[in-house]
Amino acid sequence: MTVNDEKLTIFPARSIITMERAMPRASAIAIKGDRIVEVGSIETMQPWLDNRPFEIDDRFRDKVIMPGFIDPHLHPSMAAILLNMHFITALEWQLPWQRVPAVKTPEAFQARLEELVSKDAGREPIFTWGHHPIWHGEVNRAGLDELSPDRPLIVWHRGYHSLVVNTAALKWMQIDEDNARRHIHVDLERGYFCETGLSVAFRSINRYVLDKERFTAGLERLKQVVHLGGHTTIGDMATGMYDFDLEWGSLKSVFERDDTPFRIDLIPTHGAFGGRGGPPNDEQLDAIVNARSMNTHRLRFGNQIKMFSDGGFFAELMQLGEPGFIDPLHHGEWLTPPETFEATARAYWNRGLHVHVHCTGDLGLELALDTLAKLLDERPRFDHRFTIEHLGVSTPEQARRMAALGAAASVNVYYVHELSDSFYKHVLGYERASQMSRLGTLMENGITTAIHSDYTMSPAMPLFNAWVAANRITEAGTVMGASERLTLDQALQTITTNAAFVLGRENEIGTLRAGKYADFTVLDADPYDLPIDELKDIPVHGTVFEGKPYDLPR
Amino acid sequence: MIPAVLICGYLGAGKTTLVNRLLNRRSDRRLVVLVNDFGGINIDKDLIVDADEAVISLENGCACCTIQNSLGDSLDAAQAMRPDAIVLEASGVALPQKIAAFVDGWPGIRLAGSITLADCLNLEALLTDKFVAPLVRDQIRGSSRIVLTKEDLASDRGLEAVSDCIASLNPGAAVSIGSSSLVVDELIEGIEAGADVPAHVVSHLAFDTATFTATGTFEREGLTMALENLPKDVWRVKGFVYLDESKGSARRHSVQRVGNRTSIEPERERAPSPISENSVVFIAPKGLIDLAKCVAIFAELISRR
Repeated sequence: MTVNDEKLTIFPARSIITMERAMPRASAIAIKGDRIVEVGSIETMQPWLDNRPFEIDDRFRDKVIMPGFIDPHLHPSMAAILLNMHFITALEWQLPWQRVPAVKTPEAFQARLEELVSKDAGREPIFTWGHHPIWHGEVNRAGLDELSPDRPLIVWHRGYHSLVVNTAALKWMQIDEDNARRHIHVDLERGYFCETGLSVAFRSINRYVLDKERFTAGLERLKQVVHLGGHTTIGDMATGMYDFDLEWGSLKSVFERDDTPFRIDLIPTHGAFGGRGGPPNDEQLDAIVNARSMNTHRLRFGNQIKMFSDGGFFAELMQLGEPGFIDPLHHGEWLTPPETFEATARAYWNRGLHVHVHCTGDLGLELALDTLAKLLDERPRFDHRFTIEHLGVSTPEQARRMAALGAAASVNVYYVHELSDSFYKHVLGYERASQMSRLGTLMENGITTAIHSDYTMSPAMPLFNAWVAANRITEAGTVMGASERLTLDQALQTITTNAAFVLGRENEIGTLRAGKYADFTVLDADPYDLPIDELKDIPVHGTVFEGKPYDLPR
Repeated sequence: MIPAVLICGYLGAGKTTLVNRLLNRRSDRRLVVLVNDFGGINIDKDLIVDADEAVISLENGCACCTIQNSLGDSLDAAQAMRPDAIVLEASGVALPQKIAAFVDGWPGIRLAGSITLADCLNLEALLTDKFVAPLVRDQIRGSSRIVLTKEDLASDRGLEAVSDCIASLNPGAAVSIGSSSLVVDELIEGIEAGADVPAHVVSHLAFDTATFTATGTFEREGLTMALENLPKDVWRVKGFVYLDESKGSARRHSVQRVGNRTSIEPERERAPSPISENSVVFIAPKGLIDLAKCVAIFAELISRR
């Protein structure tokens, strides 16, 4: 090895937040290649500097360095579809190529649509995402026809529940009008498709949105989104949800490149290799375990599997225990029959995999915990990393049981910001709505707890989501479930240390210490110097991934 | 438009049995059956005609995750086979109303009817089950046609209680007792037409199977003991065994086990066979247990006299 390979780079900083208990703060960090050599001060590093060539890189001298942010649960494939659409949303979204302003009235929505149609001279159909009747009123075919007589216009609901199209779009989608007219979830006059009627629309739209080139372009956009949030590691928490080969091929071609400032842990979804309807057979288990042989530098399959208990939270399809939903006729959904869930989890458990379970309601969580208890009884394991994903509605007793059973948590806390107010009024009532995503109780029980965006369910903005975790402020500006708020320390753990644990990478990332990857998120301000309700406003200056700085465009 | 019939009901309600009966009829029409559950429809070739192996799965999920739309793809695949009718075995966690709306609006297909099967022995337990009670209630409420299954194993009082329960949940429903060929006939009637063509099954499997075969006849006690001794991980047992009857004659019995419930039923008269061939198929989740060993123990126990 030549001496030059041994050359160190020292980054002095205004402050370094290591997230390490033994040395929480530092003023300089020394790296060699992709690894951290020492954290401390220039003075304490002297023995290294006396014995190795080094250079001092001053670019972060007035910045604050944190461990690279980790989002253990988002969906690149879903994002790839959505990021090709125009966002018109009730809440503000920060995208790398534009700040999407909050559009809160029907008039503003119309104006934005008009602007899109008039600005975009192309011939492609125009898709928008984010429509919500509470803010934007009703949109219908006649209104859209007026805006856009010739160009297909497709307005997709924020919660993915419905879409509204104009006449040109109906034609483009080759919708058989007689057929559509008899469908109870299609209102042709209004150009409206909802629930099961959506599938009729997707039948034509899929060819377009899942087109490989377009899908790849969407992933390129996702790359910018992930960088903008300050991430250096993300988890694709359901690889194979649409089509494993399409996803893997596209992910590899887009992300296994030097311009990608992050790595992706891929967690295959149950059924990624076939057999979604029942427990995996040997061949499917082998395929999951052997996926590791495909690993590249940035893309890595590990020892994990994703399963689903109950339905989606935004879609209000979570399974609730007593007293259920305010609407007595509304019920949640099981994505997996309870018996099948157990048999499937058993097959993965017995194969030694770490099981990650999508649970949104307390009953969905109960199924996961009952199953975990049985599996532990049948074949005890320590450090099994059985992880509850999302955790919308739960009880304090369940948190305690999670601790007793050794489960970890990866929580979507953004639910509190966007949904708790409307769920309070329409879905759950105040008590349960105010306690959704109960991070405080989880932490109090000593459960390793991370947060995630589930992008595109929530913005892929770790500081924003940590801000929600620490403040629980709704979009209406009220505080929901104040006692479930996290301290700043805890909130930062959920996007670093604990997120690394949830991905099984705690030895490599999540804190700054000698030996770990040199992954940094570089901030313009120190979160500990500001009031906690300003956490979301701290600008991310850029990132360092495996020792290489990636500035964000100013 | 191709008519479609929807068969709903929770796991173990008898959907597979009904589908088997449909497929075993000599019928004038060509059916394509979409099978969701891991029931192993095409395991026992003696009970099923001309099985096809394409994968069809009908899943729950919200629109964002199911943009790929497997049910729609399945219906298109089924239509492409140009059947006289399509029968869908819904997932055990599907709501009849939801699937009905989907199917009825799908291009080229109209819903001829939906039916919910309810297991007499298990219904009351399911209606108090902590996970699936509301779902099973909604499944009962969601079809205009309810069929009580496994009625032969229920007591008169039990049957009455279950009937009352259904009447209170869904007062307008047509309730029939027994998933017999009569029910199958009625179900089919709405979609009847065509010539004598075997049906197709579309299904997929994630199972180990092993088959016990033997010639000769056995005693009921031996068979019962052999079945009772199977580990609980053997999810399904199905097949037929010749059991001794009085005066040295033997009769072919159909043997079924789903979970804890076992049935041994004499089959209707068949043409006498010079050799009594027995065949029982065992199904378990892939890789969980040693099925070959199960078959060996089964063979030993069933032969005891």
